[in-house]
Amino acid sequence: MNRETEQDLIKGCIENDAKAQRELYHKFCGAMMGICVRYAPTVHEAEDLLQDGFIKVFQKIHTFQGKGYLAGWIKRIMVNTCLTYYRDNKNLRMYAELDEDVLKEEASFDVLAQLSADELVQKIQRLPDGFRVVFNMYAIEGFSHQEIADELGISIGTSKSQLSRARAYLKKIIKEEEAKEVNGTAV
Amino acid sequence: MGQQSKNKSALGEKFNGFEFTPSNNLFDGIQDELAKDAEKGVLADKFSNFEQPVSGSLWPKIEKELHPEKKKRAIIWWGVAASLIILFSISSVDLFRGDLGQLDSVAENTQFEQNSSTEFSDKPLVKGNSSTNLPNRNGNKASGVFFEESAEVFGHKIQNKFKQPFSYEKNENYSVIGIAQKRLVINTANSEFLVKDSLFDIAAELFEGLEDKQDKKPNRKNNIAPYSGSLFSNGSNNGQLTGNQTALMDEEAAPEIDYSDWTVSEGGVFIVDGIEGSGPDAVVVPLSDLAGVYALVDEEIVLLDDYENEVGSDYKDYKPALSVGLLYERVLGKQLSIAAGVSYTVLNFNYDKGIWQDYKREGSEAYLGIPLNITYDLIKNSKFNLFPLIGGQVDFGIAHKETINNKELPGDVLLNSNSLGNHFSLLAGCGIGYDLNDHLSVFGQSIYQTNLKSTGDGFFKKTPSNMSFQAGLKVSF
Repeated sequence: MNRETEQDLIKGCIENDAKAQRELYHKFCGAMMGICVRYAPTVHEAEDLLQDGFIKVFQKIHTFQGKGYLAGWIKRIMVNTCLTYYRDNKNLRMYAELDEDVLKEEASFDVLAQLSADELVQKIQRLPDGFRVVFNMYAIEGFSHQEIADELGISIGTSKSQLSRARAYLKKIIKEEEAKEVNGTAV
Repeated sequence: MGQQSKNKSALGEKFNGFEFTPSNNLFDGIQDELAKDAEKGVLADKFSNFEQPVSGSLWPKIEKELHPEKKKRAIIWWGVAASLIILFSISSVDLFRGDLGQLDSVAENTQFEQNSSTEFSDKPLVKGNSSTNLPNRNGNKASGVFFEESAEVFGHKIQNKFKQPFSYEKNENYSVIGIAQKRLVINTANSEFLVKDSLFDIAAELFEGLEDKQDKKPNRKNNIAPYSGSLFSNGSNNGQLTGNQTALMDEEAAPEIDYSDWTVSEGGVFIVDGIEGSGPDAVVVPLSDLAGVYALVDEEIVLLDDYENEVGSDYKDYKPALSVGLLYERVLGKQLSIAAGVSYTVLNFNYDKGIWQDYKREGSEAYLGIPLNITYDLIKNSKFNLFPLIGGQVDFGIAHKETINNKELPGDVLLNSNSLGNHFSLLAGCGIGYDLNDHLSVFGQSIYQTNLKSTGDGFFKKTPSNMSFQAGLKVSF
């Protein structure tokens, strides 16, 4: 989308024009859903996050000052929506028990890099909520542990430990799936 | 050079070439940190262009929040998240046959002694008292039933004897009469029927005491019942089957009798032929009570049609039903929906057994249906949804057409055949849908339908269970 078209679209959305809003939604919903599925354990919850995120986008579109790309601005709102949901939802599963042996083995960079985005998302969705949020923030969004700690209201040490546990859990998931494949082939 | 500089130089020289070995795992730690940073970047790149599909139903929810004024309009139109469904259906037929199977079982399970010589009856088998009110005789009663060895009818002296033993057995909902190789299954235990030794006796029974008011002749009109089986004969005829006739007497036996004014009445008799040479044996049963006539052919019980031809399972051969429907669907929850509407079903059929092999008899039945379905989205993603469904349907028979050799049968004949009626069915099935965009989706579903109650004899009663495949278009608004 060129800047001129984007400007027209933003203007239409500021004027609460339904057609402009729908066009903007359809333009970015796929990419934003790609963010939400990383934070949510199911597609259904991801769509809930997406819905909340886009409501905020349209409610705040008048604050977009045109510095940077609209896509990046929308993405930030979407990520913040996801983080707000998990920060404020006290019933989420933030921890998971892991054996000491499992904790020693973290999923290596090489192994994760070999997975496709879809495969990675499927495994990330299986992480406990706390592990999943920290892993997304650090390994994909690029937050530092300090920023994660500030955002989620936890300590840096907790952030580091959650990341380490997330990688160990991913390793466990990968091993389980490999074992299933082997057993399936053997049968 | 000052003292400080001199000292620095001396100390500096002391540490020239000085080395200190760090701990073994220090570099591993440095590598880990570098690796994590590298990993962070690559995973970010992996997701930089990552997109996922979104279900078509999400935007309407967002729009509803952004534009609440439209919500009120939706309420007037009975809710948001509703759809119109255009449905097309094709059904198979003859999955299970209901009534026929039951009659087959009754006929088969009723055992008779076929050559018994001791069970002659000298009295007709009559239900109720001796003064029998035969149906459709305009309220006239027979003066009485009788059984004589000789009788005079229309000036002819006839001598006949009841030669064939007959048997009678009552089952739960049926009375079954067996004469020789035939079994008559009569619908209710309380039906009126007579057994006579000859057709002459039948005629006497029917005509006695009846007079035309004008010319004092016996009032034959409205008292001659249509019958299947043999012609009325003088006893020498061995009773060959000649098809459906309204004449009670053939010309050889009584040529002077003018039976041209005899008409078919609404009631009926069924005449069962006896063994060759012994004269016909007769059972009078109102046709409305007659559930079926069976014969023993090659040790197998087979059903006979009105012309005493064996009926095959495809007596009335229905083609797959075609339906089209329009339904209104309302979303009740995240996964539950209910839909109701109207449907129109057409069934074509033909007859290709027995005598109809030489004729082209075909027709169609039309039904107006009111379906009600409840679906549950078992699996749903952005494009597809998989759902089971249950429901019910009421079908009203609205049109019936039949032709023989392309000549249309008159409407009053079709009305009397009682072939349509109204029917109530339950249905269950499963289907799959695919979202084309926010407002349009297509779906296919496989339905099993079972008829629970019928007021007529049409398609739904003859084939109470059916499978159908339905496809449709859903428009969401």
